[in-house]
Amino acid sequence: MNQQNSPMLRREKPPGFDKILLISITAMQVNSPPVRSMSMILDTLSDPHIPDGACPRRTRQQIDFLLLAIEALDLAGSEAILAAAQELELTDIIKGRVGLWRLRATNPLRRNSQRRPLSLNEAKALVIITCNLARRLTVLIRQLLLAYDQLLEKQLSPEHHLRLANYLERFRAHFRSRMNPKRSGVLAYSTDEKLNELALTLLGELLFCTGTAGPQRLWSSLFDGEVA
Amino acid sequence: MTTQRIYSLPNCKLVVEGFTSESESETVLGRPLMSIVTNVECHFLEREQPLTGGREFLESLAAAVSGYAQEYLSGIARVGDRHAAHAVQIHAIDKNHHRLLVQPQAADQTLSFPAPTQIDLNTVQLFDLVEAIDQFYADTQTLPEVSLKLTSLPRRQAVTQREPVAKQALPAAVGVSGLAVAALAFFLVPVPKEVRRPQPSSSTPQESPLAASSSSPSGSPSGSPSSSPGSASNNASGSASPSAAVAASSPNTSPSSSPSANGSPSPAAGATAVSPGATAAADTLFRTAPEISDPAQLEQLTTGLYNKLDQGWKKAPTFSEPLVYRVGVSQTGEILGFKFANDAALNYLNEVPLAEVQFNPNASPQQSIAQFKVVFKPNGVLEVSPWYGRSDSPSSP
Repeated sequence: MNQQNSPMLRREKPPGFDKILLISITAMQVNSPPVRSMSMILDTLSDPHIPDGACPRRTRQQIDFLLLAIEALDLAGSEAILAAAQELELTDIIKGRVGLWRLRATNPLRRNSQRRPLSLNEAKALVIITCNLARRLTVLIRQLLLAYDQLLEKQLSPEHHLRLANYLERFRAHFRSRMNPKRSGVLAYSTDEKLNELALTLLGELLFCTGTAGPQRLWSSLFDGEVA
Repeated sequence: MTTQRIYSLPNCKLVVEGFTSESESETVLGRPLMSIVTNVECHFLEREQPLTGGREFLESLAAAVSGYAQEYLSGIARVGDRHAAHAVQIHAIDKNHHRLLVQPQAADQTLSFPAPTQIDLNTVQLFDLVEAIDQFYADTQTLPEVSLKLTSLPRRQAVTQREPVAKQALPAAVGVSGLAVAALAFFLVPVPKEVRRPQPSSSTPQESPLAASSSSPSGSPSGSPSSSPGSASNNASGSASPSAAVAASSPNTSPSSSPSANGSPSPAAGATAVSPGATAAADTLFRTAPEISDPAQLEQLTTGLYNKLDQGWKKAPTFSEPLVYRVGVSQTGEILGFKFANDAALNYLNEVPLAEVQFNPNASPQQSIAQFKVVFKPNGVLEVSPWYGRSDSPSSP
């Protein structure tokens, strides 16, 4: 047998990271209370070096924006967030609809912005939910981004693609109804074009959340420029 | 044994070829450990030629793409290792397009220097590349020492996502310059001279008709009108500010003076027969001229003044209260000027011989004067006494 001439070519797709995670989680669920699985998920994200263990402004804002984009993508988005929280056993951190709203409302640009800090665990939970939902919407996200690319090449506006236009319109409506128009951060998005730009940027970022290392990448990027 | 490991995504396929060791690791996870990489190919969907290289290429590609993905997610540029001439570089053309630059490997170069390979990717293609790299990182059986290392960018290294310094400094500069302008403006406003408190006194209301009559002090030679002597009599150190004195319509700076001034308009009209310049000048005289204080001289001047006034007072008094004047007399006994010391004095000035006194503007201000209190009584009695000294009033028979 001439091993050099006919090497054994093995095509292997390495297992996705999330599959390993889910397997281990389900294994753990049999033996241990849910608290441990929750902390296991949260431990996949490392703690950054920030003072007081409270998330900086940009972090809170970005998390809320990404969830906003998910709600604009999927009509059942708001319910899906709560459902995912239950599935992933994160209900200790995200206690129902009001609890979710309070966490998201730590975004300083919101109309009724809550003056409470967003703890690292709460942020981690939201990040994990975001990536989980983004993964479910992978096909749609890719479709919309490819459509947008084609429109750009033909120099057409995004309105020409129905699904994309729907997403943008819903995002604009959600944004305007929830964000405080008097904040300078919101005034930067006063026109439809600027909001469309923001929506498409968030769509691209959501695509990266769907990856193997999606949660880690998103989590690390949230603290860029914030750590000591 | 040579093995290929392929990480396949819709737009990008990463093929890693290398040697695996047929050791115990085979049994652990069913896949042998690949510790040596011989060839790497990165295929893109629309390109025929893949990017090829060895382990260094793979590591460089992975590091560049991973860092760029973080930049894309956070929007904050990482400047740190951009300057080094890495084999693989990637940067943004615009928000939706990204350029991958691969420098040719040094080993492949011949005499010519081939241009770096340039590939433009849209966001979805970029993501597929990132995902392939991430799957390679996550594969613990392929180069396990090469794995995903993510670090958040420290604050110091974050390129300015914030406003440029110039724009930030502008409001501060405007504020400081505004403060400087205001400070300069306030500095130029003149400091008010000593503010005199209003002094309520007996002589002050009597001075007011004088001031009312001399309310046109524009002709006053010395330019310092009526307010000063009144106060000089009250407080020896009083020196009215010129600016306060300009408003002669507020005589003597005494609030009590105005009601009495309003109460006597008609006699004031009668008293304007007296030259305003005379009374004004008399004030100056009283204020500035040195006093004669020698008792013998005062005695002499008292007698002389008395005689002069007595001879001159011919008209029978029609007034019912005494008229009090403050008269200034030179060393030679000549009357230099006078002032009213009460309201009645003003009203009935035309009945007393003082009305004819004309002040001599050429009189030297340094000439010493003696001041006397002259009282014309309704019963015809004349009294003359030194203004400051012990009164020694000879009465007429």
